Amino acid sequence: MVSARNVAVTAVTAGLCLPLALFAIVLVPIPGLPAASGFWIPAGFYFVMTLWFGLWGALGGHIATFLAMGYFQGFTLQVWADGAVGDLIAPLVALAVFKLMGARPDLRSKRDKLAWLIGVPLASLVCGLWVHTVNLLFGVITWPFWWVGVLTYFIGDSLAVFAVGTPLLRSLTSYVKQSPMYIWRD
Amino acid sequence: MASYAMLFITSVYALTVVVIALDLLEGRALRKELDQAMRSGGRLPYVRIFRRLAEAAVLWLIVAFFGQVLMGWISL
Repeated sequence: MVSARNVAVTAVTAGLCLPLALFAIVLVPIPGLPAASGFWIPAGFYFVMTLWFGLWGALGGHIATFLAMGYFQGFTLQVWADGAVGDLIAPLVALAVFKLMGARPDLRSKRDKLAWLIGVPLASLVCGLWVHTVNLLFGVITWPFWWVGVLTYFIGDSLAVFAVGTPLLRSLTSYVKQSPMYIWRD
Repeated sequence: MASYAMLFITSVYALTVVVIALDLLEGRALRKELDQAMRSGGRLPYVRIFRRLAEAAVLWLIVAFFGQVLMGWISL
């Protein structure tokens, strides 16, 4: 059942992430790798919203990425959809890791921190594999660039989610807990 | 010598950061009152959380702006 609050969470997530998805990307050169890694700042926000509010947060990130990718001229619908689906999958993978480990997103206990340390890189890796494998199958990239793409995606997304998401989870989860939309109950 | 546009934008960003810092300080000073008001329900918890998220988003946009200047994507 979809409530007005679910829609509000998705809309707020999409509204927050859209300007970031359009403009807030910084390329970080990695020594030894022939490509810079995209420090994808909006990922930190939709990961956090997904860990607090579940699928509705992930859906907001998905919508923001889809709209933002469309801004760039020359991208085909496949590229938009590919990146946007990847950004829907990634935070849900992190959420699944938290569920499986019985962790909570306030990152207070050792288990919470471990789930965050495992969940974020795993989610970024799954997302990178998805995005670049689909790009490869559609002929957007060539095979020699596949592993570079996956690796830079893995590193860049993980760094951004750790840098942006960690302080948000640590400082705001105690307030979010008071919301009926919060998906975790102790 | 920095360009006029760069100085203008940097000034706006600096004031934005000051406003956000003052908002955080105000939140800390009123913590007890705000927590009490939040427990009574309503929209306040959402407003407070989403405002903090929006502030964080603005700070990261500012970081990205200067990062893109350094990368050469933005020239002023």
